[in-house]
Amino acid sequence: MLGWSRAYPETTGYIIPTLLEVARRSGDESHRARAIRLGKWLLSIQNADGSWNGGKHPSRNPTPSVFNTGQILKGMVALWRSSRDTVWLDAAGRGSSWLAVGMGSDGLWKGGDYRSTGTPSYYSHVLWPLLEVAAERGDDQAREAAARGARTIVARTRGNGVISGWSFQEGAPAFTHTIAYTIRGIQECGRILDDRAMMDSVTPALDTLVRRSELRAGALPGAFDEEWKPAGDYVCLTGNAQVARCVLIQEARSPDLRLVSAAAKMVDVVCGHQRLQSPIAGIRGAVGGSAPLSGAYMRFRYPNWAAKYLCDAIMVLSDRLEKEP
Amino acid sequence: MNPARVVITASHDRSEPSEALAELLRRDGIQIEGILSVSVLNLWRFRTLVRQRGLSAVLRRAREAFTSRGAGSGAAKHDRPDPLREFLGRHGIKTRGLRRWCRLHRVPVWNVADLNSPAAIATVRAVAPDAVVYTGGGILRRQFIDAAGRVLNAHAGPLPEIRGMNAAEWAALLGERSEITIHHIDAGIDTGSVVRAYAYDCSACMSVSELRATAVVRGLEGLREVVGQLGCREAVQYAEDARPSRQCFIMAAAIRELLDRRLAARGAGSGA
Repeated sequence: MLGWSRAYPETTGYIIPTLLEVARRSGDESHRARAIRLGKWLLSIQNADGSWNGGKHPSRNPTPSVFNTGQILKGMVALWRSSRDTVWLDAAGRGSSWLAVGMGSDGLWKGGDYRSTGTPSYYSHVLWPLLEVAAERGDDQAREAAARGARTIVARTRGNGVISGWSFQEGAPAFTHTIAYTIRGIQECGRILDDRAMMDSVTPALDTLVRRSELRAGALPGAFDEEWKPAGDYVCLTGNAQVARCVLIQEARSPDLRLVSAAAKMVDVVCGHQRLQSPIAGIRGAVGGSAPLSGAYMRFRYPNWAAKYLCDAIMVLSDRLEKEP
Repeated sequence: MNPARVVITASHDRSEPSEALAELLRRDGIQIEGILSVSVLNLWRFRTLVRQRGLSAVLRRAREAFTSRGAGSGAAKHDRPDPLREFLGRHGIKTRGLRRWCRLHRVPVWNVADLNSPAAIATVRAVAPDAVVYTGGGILRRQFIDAAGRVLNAHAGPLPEIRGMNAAEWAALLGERSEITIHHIDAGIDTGSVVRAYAYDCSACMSVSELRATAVVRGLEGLREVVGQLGCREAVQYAEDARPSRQCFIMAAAIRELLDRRLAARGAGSGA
């Protein structure tokens, strides 16, 4: 709320596919141009070893980051698919090679991650772009390594559907933001690997999230502990939109308008908190980290990724609704 | 055979379906031991409603209730007869509020903050009716159900296929049978044993409101018939316990609009 922070390479990377999709739908080429500009900036700050650093840019203590590199790969792949310009695929390849080198035999990483000593389960959101790059480059070795990682994470699923280690900090309640990262990563890995069991593994967690959301008119509690006990009385708006997106992926596999309804309500809640009018131009259209804004996730901030995930969810939801006669 | 003794629950004093059912049962000679009416001015209930439906929906509903009571099912906006109004008219029932109805017929009315409150449970236990007939008032907890012994409900959709809320709407949208199910309430969500199902015709319904009102009317008819046979138990058929299915919740606005569009198109197509 005190103005824009420094640039954030991680989310800059994964906002690119959203901008390209908006351009495709709207025909407004300015979105594509913006996506390319973001991509070029990311190329300019890529490390020689192919990685990208963590945190904001410029960083006082630049350290290569597994998670951030993974998220930026999404932007690179999207730009490659949209333009077929090899500069993007080459950059993605270098990033992906750096990720592959750091992987252990279980397909995960030790170190190079955010706030954690082990590899958190939401790193499924790194394995997904790794698989996307592997698919584009025909890299079977990277594919196998990422598949191993995804299976390691799926094996952490508990009887109640919770996937251990899906929070930022081990043992702490997980924001719906990282819960959705984990689920989405597994869903996408399962899709690329054509592994139905992997995709099914997140069904119990999604069923619980849908139910919890429905009991509160689409407003999921912002965080849950590993027994599904809500932590705090706020909504993590980013997570709400992300979970809606995951529910729609699930629904696409097994159509059921009840799930579409649940997702629509989650999206409605986020829309209800979008700032459509503000004297501050930087806030207009923004979505807060939490509702209320004082909630624990991104307190008093409007993260760019909250708006990104809302856009993504709205686009997929409207596609789904348009399919209905 | 002694007439059945029942207690009726109501979501609020102005519930027209509750009053209509009370009047019909009275005319049938059913002994109405009392009406448990949930107080509207209740913070806990308000909070629950806001959680379930969202603040804007609750405020809109309250505004509608206070400004246009008697507007019926909303079918009027389509220039259509209102099924609930027609039903009331057909039976010569003029609703004036449960409190007045109870005074007129010397039936006790118990205003409670919550049907699961100790006061409500103690009341129903003391009365020990043949059945509690549920016509609204929120989710019932096990203690109430145990105290009541038997709680009958008209569920607006087919069971076990459509469990939960907005059942008539979900049944129509998901292509399930248009059917009211009279069943026993148990501790689960619409998982109690089924007594009888009543089909209804919604092919002429042109809006969600009209569909809902049609289902409500059929539910009242079904409850009336089942309660009328409470004295002769063999007439009440028990099906096997409903199998669990995905629970339905209140429809999102976009899904309700979708159903509204479909109903209007179908109704127009059928020349309704």
